[in-house]
Amino acid sequence: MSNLELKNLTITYGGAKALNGLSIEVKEGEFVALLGANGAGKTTSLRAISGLLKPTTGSIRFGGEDITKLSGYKRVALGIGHVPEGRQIFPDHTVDENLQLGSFIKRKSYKEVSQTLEEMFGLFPKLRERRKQMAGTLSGGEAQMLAIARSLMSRPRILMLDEPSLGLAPQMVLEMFRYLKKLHAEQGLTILLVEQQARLALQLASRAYILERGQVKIAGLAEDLIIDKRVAEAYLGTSH
Amino acid sequence: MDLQIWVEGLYIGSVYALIALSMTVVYQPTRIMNFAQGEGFVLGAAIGYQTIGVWHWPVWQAGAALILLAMAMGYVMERMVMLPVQLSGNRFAWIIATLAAALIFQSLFNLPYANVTFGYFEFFKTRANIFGAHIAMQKILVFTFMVFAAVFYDQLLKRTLWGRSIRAVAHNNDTSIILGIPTKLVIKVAFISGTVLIACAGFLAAPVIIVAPASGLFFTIQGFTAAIIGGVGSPKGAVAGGLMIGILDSVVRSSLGGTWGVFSTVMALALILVVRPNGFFGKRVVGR
Ligand SMILES: Nc1ncnc2c1ncn2[C@@H]1O[C@H](COP(=O)(O)OP(=O)(O)O)[C@@H](O)[C@H]1O
Ligand SMILES: [Mg+2]
Repeated sequence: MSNLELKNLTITYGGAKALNGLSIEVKEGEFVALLGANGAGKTTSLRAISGLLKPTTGSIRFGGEDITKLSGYKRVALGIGHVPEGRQIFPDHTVDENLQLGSFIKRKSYKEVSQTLEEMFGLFPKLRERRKQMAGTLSGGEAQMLAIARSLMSRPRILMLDEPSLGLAPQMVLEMFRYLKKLHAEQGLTILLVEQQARLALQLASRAYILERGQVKIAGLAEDLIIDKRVAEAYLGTSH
Repeated sequence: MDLQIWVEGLYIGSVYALIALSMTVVYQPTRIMNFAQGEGFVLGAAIGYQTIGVWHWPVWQAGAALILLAMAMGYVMERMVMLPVQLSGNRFAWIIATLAAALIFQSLFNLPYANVTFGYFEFFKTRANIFGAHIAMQKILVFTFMVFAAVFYDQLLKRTLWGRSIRAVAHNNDTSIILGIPTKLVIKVAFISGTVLIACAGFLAAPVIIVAPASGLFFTIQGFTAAIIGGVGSPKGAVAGGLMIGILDSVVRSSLGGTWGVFSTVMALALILVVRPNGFFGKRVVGR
C-alpha cells in the first residue's frame, strides 16, 4: 500500500520555520490537493517527502516504512515521484535523454523501460515528435508534459506535482489536468497535487488540505471545501 | 620551422591535455575546478619512481599499486574538497578547499622525496622516426593514452546513462536526486576516476618529463590554462587546449628561449579570455 503519512513535521530554514508541525496523509489511490497561499509551505512539504530537506522534528512514513532518515535518491525506488516546481527539465539533454534519466532506477530492466517509454509517448504524443530535440527548446506546455513523463518513467506509486499549471496558457492547464485525471482514473495512480489554481484542483481532487504558515489550517473533502465560505473568500476568489 | 619542435610540442601538449581532461572529469558533475588535480600527476610519477626506479618491480605490479593508491587519493581528495563545500554552503569554498588540498599533498610528497625528481627508465627504449623527427616511444605512448582517454570520456558523457547522469547532476543536483540518481556517488566516482586518470598520466610521463614533489601546482596551472582555452567542461576542448599550449610553448621556447614558454601560454590565455571567453569548445557558462 502506498500510504503516505507526515506526522508533526517541522522544517526550518536558518531560524525560520517553514513547516510547523505539519500532519497530512494520502491513502493509496487517492487524489489529494495541497493548497495555500504563497509561502504557506507547500513546496517545502514536497521537498521533505522527497528527502531534499531534513526535518528537525516529526516523521514521514511511506508504504508502512519510516523513511524520515532515508536518503532522497533511495525514496524513488520505493515509489515516490516528484514533479518539481518550475518543471526543472534538463535543457541541454534531449527529450529522450530526459526520459531515460527518469528511468534511472529501472536501468537494469531494459524491457520495462522501453515499454514505459512507449506508454509515455502514447500518453503525450507531442513528446514523440520532439524525441531528439534539446529539452530547452520545448514550449512551456511540452516542458511540463516532459517533466511529468520523466517522473512517471520510474513507475512511481505516488506522484507529487508542484504547481504544474505555473506559467502555462489556460488551454494548456486544462489539457494537463485532463492528463492527471486520466492517470488517476485509468491507472489508479495516487496523486498529491500542489496548486495555486485552487478551484481547478478542488474539482479534480477528492480531498484537500489548506496550509497556512506551515500547518494545516483546513482539511476536508474537496466537494465540501469548494462550497466552504472560508475557503471561497481566501483562496477561490482570485483563481478565475 | 623544424618538425622536431612541433612533434615535441604535440607530446608536451598531450600531457597538458591529460591534466585538463582529468580536471574536466571532476568539473563535469561538480562545476569545481580542482586546483589539487596536479597532485595526482605527482603521485603517479612518485609511484613509478619508487616501485620501478627504486624497487625494480615489474611494470604490471607497479601499475596495480598505482591504480589502488590513486583511487585512495581520489577518495580522500573528494572528502577534502566536497565536505567544506557541502557543509559551508559558501559558493567560493571550493577555491580554498582545493588549494588547501594541493598544499597538503605537496607537503606530504616533500616528506620522503625532498630533493628527488621522479625520473626512471622508459618502458620502450626505442625512438620513432616521423618524417625525420625523432621521438621517444614513451612519448608516443603518452600521446596515445591521451587520445584513448579523451575519446572514451567523450563517448561516455554522450552515450551512456552514467554520462547523462553526470551532466544532470551538474545542471541540478536536487532534480537528479528526485529521479533516483545517487548524486554523491556520481561525484565520488568523478574524483576517483579523475585522479586515476591523471596518476596514470604522471606514471607514464615521468620518464620523459621533469616532475618533482612540488610540481603539482605547475601542472595544475598548465591543465587549467588548457581547459580554459579549449572550453571548460568539454573533453574536446581539453585536448585542443592542451595541444595548443603545448605547441605554442615548444615553438616559443625554441625560438625565444625557455623563459618565454610559460609567458606565451599565459598571454594566449589572456587573449582567449578577451576574444572567446568560453574557449573554443565551451558552451555559454551557465550562471546559477
Ligand atoms: N531556500 C529557502 N531559504 C529560506 N527560506 C525559504 C526557502 N524556501 C522557502 N523558504 C520560506 O519557507 C516558507 C515556505 O516556503 P514554500 O514551501 O516555498 O511555500 P509555498 O510553496 O507554499 O509557496 C516561506 O516563508 C519561504 O519564504
Ligand atoms: Mg511553492
